[in-house]
Amino acid sequence: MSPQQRDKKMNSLALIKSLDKKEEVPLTIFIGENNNAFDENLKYVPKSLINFPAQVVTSCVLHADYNAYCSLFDFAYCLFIENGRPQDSLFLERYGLSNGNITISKDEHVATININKSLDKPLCLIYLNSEITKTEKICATIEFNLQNSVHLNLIEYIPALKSSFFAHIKTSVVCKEASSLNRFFINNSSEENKYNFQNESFFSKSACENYFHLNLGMGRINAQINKFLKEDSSKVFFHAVDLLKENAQAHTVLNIEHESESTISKQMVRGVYQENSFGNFLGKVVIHQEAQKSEARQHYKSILVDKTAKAFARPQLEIYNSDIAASHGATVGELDDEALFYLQSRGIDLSTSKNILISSLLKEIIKHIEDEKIKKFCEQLLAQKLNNNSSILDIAKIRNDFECLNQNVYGEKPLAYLDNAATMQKPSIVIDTMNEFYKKYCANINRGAYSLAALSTKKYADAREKVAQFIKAKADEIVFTKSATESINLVANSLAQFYFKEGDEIVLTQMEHHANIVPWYIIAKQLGLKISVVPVTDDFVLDMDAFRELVNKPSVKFASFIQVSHALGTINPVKEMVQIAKNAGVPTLIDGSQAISHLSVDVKDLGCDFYAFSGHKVCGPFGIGVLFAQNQWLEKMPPYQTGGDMIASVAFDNVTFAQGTQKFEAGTPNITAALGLASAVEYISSIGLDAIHKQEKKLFDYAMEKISTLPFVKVFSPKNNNVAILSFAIKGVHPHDIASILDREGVCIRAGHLCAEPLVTRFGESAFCRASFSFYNTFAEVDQFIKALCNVAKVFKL
Amino acid sequence: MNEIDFLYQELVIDHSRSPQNFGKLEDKTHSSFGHNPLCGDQITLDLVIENGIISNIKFCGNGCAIFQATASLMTQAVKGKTVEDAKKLFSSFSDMVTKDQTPDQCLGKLKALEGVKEFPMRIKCATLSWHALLSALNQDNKKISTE
Repeated sequence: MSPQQRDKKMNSLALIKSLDKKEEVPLTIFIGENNNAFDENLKYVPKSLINFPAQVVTSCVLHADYNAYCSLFDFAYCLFIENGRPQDSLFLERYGLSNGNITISKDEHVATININKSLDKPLCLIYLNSEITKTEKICATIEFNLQNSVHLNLIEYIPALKSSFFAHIKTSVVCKEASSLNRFFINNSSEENKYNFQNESFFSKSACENYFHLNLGMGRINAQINKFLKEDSSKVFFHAVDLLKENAQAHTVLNIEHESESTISKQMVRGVYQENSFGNFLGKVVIHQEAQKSEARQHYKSILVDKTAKAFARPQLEIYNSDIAASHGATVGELDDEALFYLQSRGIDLSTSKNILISSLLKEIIKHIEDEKIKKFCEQLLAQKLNNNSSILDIAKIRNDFECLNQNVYGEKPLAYLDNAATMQKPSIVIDTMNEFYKKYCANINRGAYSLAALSTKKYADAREKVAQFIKAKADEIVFTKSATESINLVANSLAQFYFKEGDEIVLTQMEHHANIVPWYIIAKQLGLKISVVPVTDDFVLDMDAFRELVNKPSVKFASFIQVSHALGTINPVKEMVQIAKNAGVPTLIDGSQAISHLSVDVKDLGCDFYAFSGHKVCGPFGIGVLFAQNQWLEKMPPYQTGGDMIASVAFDNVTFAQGTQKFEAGTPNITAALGLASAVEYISSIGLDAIHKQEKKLFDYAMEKISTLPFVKVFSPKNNNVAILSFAIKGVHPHDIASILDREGVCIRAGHLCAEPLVTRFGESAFCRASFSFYNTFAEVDQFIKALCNVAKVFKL
Repeated sequence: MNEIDFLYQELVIDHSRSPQNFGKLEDKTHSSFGHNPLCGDQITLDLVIENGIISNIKFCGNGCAIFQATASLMTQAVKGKTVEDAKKLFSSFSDMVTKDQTPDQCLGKLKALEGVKEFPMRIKCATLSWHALLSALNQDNKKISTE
């Protein structure tokens, strides 16, 4: 611990000691070995509202994640409610809302948000909570006031947070005359989160609310909702969707009071419950004596998908005036068997059929959302919950999987890891898988006759199977190596032994990684082969005419090329290139190291003879690589490394080799790393490469837009057809200096020839800088990067 | 002053932009070539040594600001000095950037590079030209590399 950190820790401990005597208690305190910052602007709330335990309270939600949510709700003004109170003092400035249309004020008990004029975009409140222990309770009150004739779209988003806590949040809404509120309560909580929401809404004359209460999360939420139609002609339309799984619970207690004449309320509730979830809906309407000519409708429909789910629905009408119209109805049932059968008979599997029925039921509610963007968001979220696919990435949740990302460097600078092309961070599941193997299953594979060895062997075989599936290959086409470099060396050296003869030509490209240049260079020197190089154009793409011409020369016997350039980010048209080569009778090797973490790879569809990649570039551990090789090649190729495991029999005067992939795996393999890689590709698949590519594109487009405003930066990456790799240079400043200055701002980029010296030279530089983004990077990190570049300009007086 | 501003202080930026003693010497008596393969810094050093004194020195090369500034300041510092004094200066410079102690007064303007010690990854950039100098003085005709 540095002296500064030690001082900060002492300050924190002294503060905690003094707290017993204080009336006010800070809401967030940073202490502990790994937390470097001490929040100078501690937020205070009255002690009476908080049970403060004497133990450690860990650090606040990374403010960097604010921008992740802002991008999720890019169609709205995002205001962060942290521990029940609006935070983010720059909210008004950031969106240019300082004209008084919306004002936010706070005192120790209540936060008040006044909407004085209609806003042109929805207002989105995002409820975040610091990590707090289970005994912590947060109590807070937020008041909304809509002025006369004001229209507001209000979203309240409950994200999935990793920490376990209980929060009690009260909101109070006043809709003044003729105002209209479209309000969306979207519960996307995680299992550890527990909330109690208390809401009171008061409606003046002709005020109207369209309320959507969507319980789609995994946590436990109690919502007590009270709507008071205080003045005549006010209306509330209450829509609710419960889509609950596993141990989720949603208790919704609704109370609508018609206190004046000609008021209208309508309730439409649809609930779908599966696994152990529980939905409880109590809806009460009270029509007071003064409320003649009022109308109250209730309709609840719940579906229990399986026997373990539970639903409870009780609508209630209390009527004190007879000149009104009211109705209520509630049904609880199962999915329509006949409809399910019909869908299955049309070839749709049971799971999808269920989802179709559930989706159409819930869409009956969603279709009433007027704002197109909000409707689309809700539809996507619903689809994600039904299909368990992550078309919307919860960045904050994902970042929690990568412990290494959540640290500060040089004191208070948050780490912005933008060197993903060099290696990707490893999620906890990968690290845990490897540790578990060492702790529980450590035995050598293949040779043991005891159960531990059998388990170990099976795990290794399963890992091969999973990796094969990841690139749509078969397990007997996958050779485990230590890296893509070794994979390429294997092919080059093996082919050198039987395939090439003097005068043969190999086609490479100008954008290759050294790993796909040097092995060929060596065998070319040894055997008298020629290497022809496909040039890269000024637009950072391959000259395809040149490729066609070079590959079709009769002396060409092999072509090897990179699928995605690690230096430029360019995605090459490898399927087309393989086809051109095939037509010319030329086998191909694709270097997929950079492609594998950004694009869906199907080696069968690509048609290549060989495909190589490294595990550590796709969230796997170091020391593991893959070579996909078609069976006919594996048969023909002599081994590269020799020794144990790749033999059939050994005598000093005669050795016979194993068949297939085994022939190329000499010695005890890196078993743990293979298991780690399998775990990594499963993790990536669970998020989905399409979603990953979409998210990376968003980040990249944002970064390119920002960097284009810096006149001193020259970019060496194509704007389109890119995998979020941004290479650049600054005239008069060496990349090494740029990287050092960025380092001090917490930003990690690579500087140098990027293992692509021919390419860097081709563009007239001695070195590049490269920032490479991944799905776990945030927009805030892009901002941090751009800000650091401006600092370079300042230091070098550009 | 933060570490970046201390490292990239005005003297360093100026010398990296307009290095002193840049060029070649036709009448060189000693020379050497140095190279940092990790970041691409390269230096060709030409010296004229008469009666144990470095009467003229020029360097050619390109690289990062730390490297350029050090090479420029180094050539300024050793010009006119004896070979022994030049070697002592190397020792003092090396101590300054690797050890946590106050720089030797004899370093003069070279003290501007003191900030390098907070950047261990950049020490090689600063010492490359000194190693090239040593090699030239010893005339061992070895190609100097930082690796």
